[in-house]
Amino acid sequence: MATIESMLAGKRILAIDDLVESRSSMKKMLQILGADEVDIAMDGDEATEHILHKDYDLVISDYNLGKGRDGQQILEEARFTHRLKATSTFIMLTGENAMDMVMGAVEYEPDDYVTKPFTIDVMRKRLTRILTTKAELRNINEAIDEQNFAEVLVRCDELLIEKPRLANRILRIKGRALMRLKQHKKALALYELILAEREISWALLGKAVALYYLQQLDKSKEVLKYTIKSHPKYVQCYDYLAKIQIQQKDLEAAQMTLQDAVRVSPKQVLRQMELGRIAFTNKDFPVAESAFRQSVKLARHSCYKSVKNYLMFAKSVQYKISPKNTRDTRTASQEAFRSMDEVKTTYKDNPEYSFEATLIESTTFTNLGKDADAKLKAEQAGAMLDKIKKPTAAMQLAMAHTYIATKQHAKAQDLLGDLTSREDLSAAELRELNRTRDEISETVVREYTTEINDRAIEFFERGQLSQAIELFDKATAYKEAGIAVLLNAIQAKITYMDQRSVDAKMAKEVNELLGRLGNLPRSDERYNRWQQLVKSQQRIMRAL
Amino acid sequence: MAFDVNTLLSAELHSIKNQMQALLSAQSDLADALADYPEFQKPIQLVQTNGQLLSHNIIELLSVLKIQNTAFEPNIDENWLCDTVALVIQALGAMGSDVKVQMDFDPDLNAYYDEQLISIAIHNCFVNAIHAGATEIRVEVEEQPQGSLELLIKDNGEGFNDAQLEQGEFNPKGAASGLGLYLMDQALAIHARTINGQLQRGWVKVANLDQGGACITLFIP
Repeated sequence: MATIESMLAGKRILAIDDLVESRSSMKKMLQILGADEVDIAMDGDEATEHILHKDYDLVISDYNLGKGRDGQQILEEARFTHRLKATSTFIMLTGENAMDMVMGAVEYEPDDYVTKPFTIDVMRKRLTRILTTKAELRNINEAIDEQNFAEVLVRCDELLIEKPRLANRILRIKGRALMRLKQHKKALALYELILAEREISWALLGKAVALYYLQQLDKSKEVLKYTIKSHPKYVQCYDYLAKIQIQQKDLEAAQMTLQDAVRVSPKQVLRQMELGRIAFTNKDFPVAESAFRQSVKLARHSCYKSVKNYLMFAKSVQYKISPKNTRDTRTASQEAFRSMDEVKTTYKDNPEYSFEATLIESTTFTNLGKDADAKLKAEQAGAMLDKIKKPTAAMQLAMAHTYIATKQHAKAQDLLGDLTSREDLSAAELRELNRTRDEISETVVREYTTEINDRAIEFFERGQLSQAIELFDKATAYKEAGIAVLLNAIQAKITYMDQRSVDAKMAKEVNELLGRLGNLPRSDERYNRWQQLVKSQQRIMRAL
Repeated sequence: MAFDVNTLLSAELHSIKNQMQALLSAQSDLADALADYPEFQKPIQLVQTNGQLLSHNIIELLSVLKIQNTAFEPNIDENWLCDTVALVIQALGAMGSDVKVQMDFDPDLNAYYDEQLISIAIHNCFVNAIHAGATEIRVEVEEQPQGSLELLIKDNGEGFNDAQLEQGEFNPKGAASGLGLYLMDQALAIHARTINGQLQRGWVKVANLDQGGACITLFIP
């Protein structure tokens, strides 16, 4: 075995601990052991900053780092963003109660851990062993860094013969490589072989995951529940259990499982996001609110930062908002608006995000009972949507809902008309489209056509026939346009042709409008007017 | 109550361990700073010895919690036996013991056990030996099928008396005697594994050697 001094010399090392005495004592310890390049960081943000700018060979981090991200999250983000290679070593300093949480990650686990309290002799021994093992696995880790998992398997098999004492470490890597290569049957066989000798928690999870990918969901669930019973802090088991429950459409059970998981490990962003998403789907808004609030907070300086967290958080608090001026309403609405301001500032170069944020602002105003503000925001959102080159069906549907909420049913109807002509609607979107269409009130649309009609009449009476006809065309485009609107449109077009010249296209339009009207009964007070217009149209048709 | 007892205990233990870590570091810094002052070496040695003892007692306390309190689970993980034993030897050395310990097994031998519990068990074996006048201790390993181990800790001390050899169970006879063996027994018993469909627990056996001295066997399933 090489000495620790030779293994540490020339290596770039980062030590992370939130306590100042621990940081300086760790640095000193490492220097005594032979390290000559040691950086220190006190929290997740500082550590991430260091890791972004330097390639470290060794990172030693305390698991508990106070309020912000913990050591496990730093590790996950560093590996996820490939800032820390598989050939680099990550050691966690941890207490007893965090062991399963630390060592259980399927994807991103530390190379090893050291429990406090430790003396320099303990650190010397542990580091020597860890770095020696790491050196022996270097060949395999290089293949992992190259993402060449077929080669990983080859090297694992070679090393198993050469170093049988490292069997469990090698088999653990082999299992993960088989999963990456989607060789799930082989992975299952491997884990079962390991479990036949000893019930190791990571092998149990590995087996469950292999069964999951082989679509043996009930068996996978069984293994996961069993593992959770004996290792209740093995939080990745909860994640997979929830995945299965979602696939089996048991969303309430999935939510319960994820809630258990976040109780064990509350700082994992992706888990909080998933819990928020499921709770929102289950309409459990208090849980969704809490989960998305945590997601926003935890992800603020992390690689998992996402606009979705902000948007979903603001949507989740809507249940608290009402026209009553309660404290809950005030706090929730302020949080919603603040969140949307943050979206617009942080993602100002993304018009789609700004659009979604504006929609939520409109919803918030609607819930506050501030209809004028809600309508204004809806119009702003509508203008933004018009500028988006390829809006998704989801965006259009959301806009339609907002139009309906702000009593702009005619605009909603127009938008749904555009949606109907799309060829890329999913089954769910089609269902949503039909549901939304049912929400449109004929009465409200008719009122809208009446408003347009009134403006058109003003133009007509001033002799501005072209402008009047333009507005009448707009009003009559809606099937909800009433008899009066249709008669006015017919009259404007006939008057135009009488004053200018007969136009075949306009004559055809008049015929279509008369067709829509059908025959008015004599009892209708507009019967005489209708009769006169029909005769005028017949005269025009003879002139053509 | 806002927190349950176990949560409070965990929090307190966490603080104690951090404090202990700080103390051990400060101890080490102090020893370095006064290395050139012979008049301070004896008091420093005392500080270090007591620091080690305190650290050991904290680990022992944690071990007791693991044994007695289901909220504190043992952490069965892969460990290198050679490292575990070496650290026990170093800790004893820091407490002033000069007993010679020989490790007579493959230095790359690894096994699954809770390192803190097994360290306590090995530590107590060594302390027993020292108290029985041993100057030499030898650690051997017999590897059993399916990854189980028997650790044989042999010494050249006085050996066990008849009463100790005859007792079927280890019971603490009050704070002054029997506690070490009892804790050892419990620490091993908590290591349980199903092998070929049968639950096997760890155990401790004591015996005297024909050539004199004692042998404590620790079975780790």
